[in-house]
Amino acid sequence: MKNDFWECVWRELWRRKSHTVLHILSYVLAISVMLVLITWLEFSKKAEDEILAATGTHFIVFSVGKLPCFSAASLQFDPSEGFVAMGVDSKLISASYVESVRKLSSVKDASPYLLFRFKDESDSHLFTVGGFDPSRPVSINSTSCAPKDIVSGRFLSPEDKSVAMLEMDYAKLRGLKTGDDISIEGVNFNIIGIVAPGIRPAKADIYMNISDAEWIINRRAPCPVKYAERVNIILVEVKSAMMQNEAIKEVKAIDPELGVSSFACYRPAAKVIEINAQAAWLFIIIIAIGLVVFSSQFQLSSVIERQHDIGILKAIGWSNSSIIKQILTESVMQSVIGGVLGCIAAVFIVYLAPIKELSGLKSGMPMAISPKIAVLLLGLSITGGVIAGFFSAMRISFRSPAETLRRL
Amino acid sequence: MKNHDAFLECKDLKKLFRSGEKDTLVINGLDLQVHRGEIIVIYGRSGAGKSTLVGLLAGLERPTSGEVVMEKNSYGVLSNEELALLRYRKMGIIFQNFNLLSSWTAFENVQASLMHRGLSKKDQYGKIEALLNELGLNTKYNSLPSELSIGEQQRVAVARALVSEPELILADEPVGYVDAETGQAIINYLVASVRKKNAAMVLVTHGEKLLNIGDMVLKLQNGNLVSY
Repeated sequence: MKNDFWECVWRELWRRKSHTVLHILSYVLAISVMLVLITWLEFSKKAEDEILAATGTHFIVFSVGKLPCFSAASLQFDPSEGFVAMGVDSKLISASYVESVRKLSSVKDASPYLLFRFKDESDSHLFTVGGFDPSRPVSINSTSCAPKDIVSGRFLSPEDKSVAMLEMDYAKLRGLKTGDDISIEGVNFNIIGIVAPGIRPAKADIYMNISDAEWIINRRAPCPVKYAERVNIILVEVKSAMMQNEAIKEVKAIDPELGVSSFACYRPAAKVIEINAQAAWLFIIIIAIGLVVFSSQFQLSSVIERQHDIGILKAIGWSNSSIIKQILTESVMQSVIGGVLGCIAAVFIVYLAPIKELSGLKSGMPMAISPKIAVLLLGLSITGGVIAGFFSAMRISFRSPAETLRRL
Repeated sequence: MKNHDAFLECKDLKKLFRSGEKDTLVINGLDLQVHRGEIIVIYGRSGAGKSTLVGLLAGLERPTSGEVVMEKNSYGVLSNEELALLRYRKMGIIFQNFNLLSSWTAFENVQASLMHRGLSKKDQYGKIEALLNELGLNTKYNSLPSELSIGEQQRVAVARALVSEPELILADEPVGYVDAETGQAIINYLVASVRKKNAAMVLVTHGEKLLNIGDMVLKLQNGNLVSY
């Protein structure tokens, strides 16, 4: 009985060879295109994350305002001097926040920073001193300056004392170079390196270890600072660009008075990626719907071509259920063969075609088809076959054999 | 013949076809009893409703009123699926225009009546080959209906109806398109099969040459059967 059934299915598929091949090809095309697209989407998401991880995944935390002791001492103290962040006066915040920020799930690292604007007594020019902890390069490199920014000399190490690095433009302006000394508040610092950090949210004219910065600031500031207790800036590096917003939200939840500054250059890139992904998904959904509609129409046209034969079979006693089962099985067989061949075709396309190069994705990661997605698409293909077969079988099965025979 | 012996019975059968506003009563209060081993020939002019009657006896058409009963099973209470099963188990139908499956070979057309019966391929092929050979179609197994002559097509249709050894054969003009000699051979074969299996046969025809084979000959006139 089962043998008869399969014999009928194969015989019918073989009898309409060109129809069967075309139907299977439509599945191969749709499944392979969808699988390649989804693989490309998955790959580009990883590649983009990789790119975004190095793009603007940082910010600085500070509190805007002037310290009261600075205001009270305004007679001996120039109002342009004091703690600054992003060019505006900043207050001191508890150093315990550094540890709180560091513990956030979205944050990779956080470190204390002192940024103070001095007025040179000899010629009244303003300059900033930035003090950081060189043992925490992850949060410093992207927000203040990094070893790769060195133009001459060397970068600060945690053991350094009474030495400084100068920002390249400031060094040029002051005519200073590596090996020279620079005097701040009457204390000489040996210049060990010149850096060109470009645009950074915690950029300074002179960089030094945070302990040296504390010492020199305390020589000038009317109220003493202990960086172990209070800092004016926290430098933050986020785990991924996609977590930037979440990290900013979490930092503000620690203390609502805290301000955050980020150049947010990750946003346009993330937005464009999101738009591309949405368009690709829309395309995939259209293909999936198109596959089901096309397959249903194709299967229906095959059944309509055979309605005379089906009427005869019903007239000689074939049951409706055996005819429905046969049409359904024919449709599912084609979808299974098409789906499997589509997955195989996709594997060849992904491994042989230069998709990475053509789409302009530069990543060392290999592009690979996910078996889970392939199985899902095979399932979609079979579902399409079931819908197409069921729809066609239902259309023909309700017609009485006498009616079918009379019509033809 | 007594009523309770009837293998197939029609009671006050009516069939009305509606075309637009015009009603045509094709079968009008027809009564018929068919018994095992009996050959009934129904004679009627073209358009008398012979094919409609075959359709009603086969359960392909539903009557407007009245009932068809086979071995105490009234067609009226059976679903289309159950009627199909009844046809498959009990009947062999020879259609007026053969109704062969155009894309199936002669062999496959005959095999259509044997499929889904739980028979092994060997048994199926043995029966089909024996029957086709007996009907002189031993060289036409793989021919499509379009490659066969009218007479050969008619013999394939007969083979399809007989291969399952049915208890009731419904034959609608079974030799209508063949020459006298071929027609006689087909009829002889049909009659021999019915007699051998103690089956029943209802044969409808518009020609008078087949009337002599019937145990009973009836004329379909004005939608009813009368003695001929």
